Amino acid sequence: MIKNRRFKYLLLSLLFIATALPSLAVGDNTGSTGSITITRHANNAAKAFAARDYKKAKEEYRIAIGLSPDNLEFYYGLYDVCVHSGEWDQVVFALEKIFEIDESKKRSLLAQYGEALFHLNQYDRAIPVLKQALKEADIPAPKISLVVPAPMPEPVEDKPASGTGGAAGLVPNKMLPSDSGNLASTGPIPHHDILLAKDTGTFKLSFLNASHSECILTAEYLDYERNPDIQFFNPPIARYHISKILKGPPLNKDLPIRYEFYDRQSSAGMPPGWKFSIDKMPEKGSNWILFIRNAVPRDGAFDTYEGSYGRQPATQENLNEIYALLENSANR
Amino acid sequence: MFSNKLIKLFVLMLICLSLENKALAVDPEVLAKKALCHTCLAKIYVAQGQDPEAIKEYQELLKLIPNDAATHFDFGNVLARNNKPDLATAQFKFAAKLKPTIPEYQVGLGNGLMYVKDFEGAVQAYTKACMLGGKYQKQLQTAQQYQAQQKLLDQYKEKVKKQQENTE
Repeated sequence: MIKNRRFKYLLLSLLFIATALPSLAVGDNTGSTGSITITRHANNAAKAFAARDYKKAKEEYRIAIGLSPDNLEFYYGLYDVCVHSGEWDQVVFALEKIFEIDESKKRSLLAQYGEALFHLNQYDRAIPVLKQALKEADIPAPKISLVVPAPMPEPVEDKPASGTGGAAGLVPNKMLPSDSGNLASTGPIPHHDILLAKDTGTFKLSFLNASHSECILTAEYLDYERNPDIQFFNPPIARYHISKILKGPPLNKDLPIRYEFYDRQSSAGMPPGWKFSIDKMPEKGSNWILFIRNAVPRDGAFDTYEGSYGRQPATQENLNEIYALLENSANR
Repeated sequence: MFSNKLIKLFVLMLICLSLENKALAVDPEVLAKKALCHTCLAKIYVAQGQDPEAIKEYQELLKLIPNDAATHFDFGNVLARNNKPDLATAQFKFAAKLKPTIPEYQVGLGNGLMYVKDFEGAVQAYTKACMLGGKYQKQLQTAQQYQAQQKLLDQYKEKVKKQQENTE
């Protein structure tokens, strides 16, 4: 009789454990980010870093940051990668973001911040930071690891992610409801096929996906840089003037944009007989919504989200949709 | 009873000792952070031409990392630029001793020794630098010429001295 009871208790406790840890279920492996896509990028970044492919590691971290801009780990990763590759402007960017998200980290990272400023020849800024860092060096600070995050558990593609989204207890609540990274806890959870983007070939160009960009703004088209070698795949640099930043860091008002003529999801290639002429450019003074995936210029110009898709006319309808998405994101 | 007290006392002593050791030990993270700050500050001051400030930073830095050859070498260069050849040579000596396989450190030492007129030492340092693969034959030749002249001068002085003694 007693044995029977014990057996029942044992079964009951096993059942309890099984229900309390849904994340252990097969195919629910979203790492600590709560999103398969983000976890994949984070893993790719960590792997690339381990292989000393700093360029790729940086790109992957930038994408991960774009999808989950509040995740400190990715900024630490970006920091570490860029220290190794000597890209000190990126180091400063990563550190400033870390301070922005969690000011308590500033004290323990002041020396590194000063070092980055020194490498950028910003001596006037670096000196007070370094002096402050020296003053505070003796004060014990909370331990943080400045290493690239270890790869997270590999996402499982062929099984849908569960709605509860991953390792319970490890993932911040705000990340749980949606696999789309930092958007909408309200509303239906998008199916992960859409979110796996390019990997599955079913990626949809939508405002929802575009709104993961690091920077969204409205800007007025001014002109483009004349260059005799403008081709379909060698786009000109267009000059915009920022009217309003809807999301992202405060960029310089004069915004150089790489004006791509195709959306990168398209496999159509160059249209036959395509030749550059001024009519391929927008009307001067026209207003646009620009989605900038990574708010850091590449070769002196910013890339828009998925090429031409990242430039949308600033119509009332489009603006309304963006505002709604951003509002939803802010309330998540 | 007596032994019990003795044991307690012994344990107390051990605790005190361990606490003291902890207090004296320098956290390597703090050390690295301070060294980083002083290094950056020193290099900034050098770049800005504020050598006295840079010297202070190097002095602080070497208190933290006395066995860092590169720091000794950099510090030596700043001192040499500030007409302190004796002090600079001492720093170059440290650098060359800590990392004897780096030709630049040997050349630094050779230059310092030339300034303090230790031509023999300079020849040795330059020779080492050349043997390590550096292209410092010109410096070596100059040092050898100076050394030869020094020898002649010494011989001449000795001759004069002997003559004086004879005349007396």
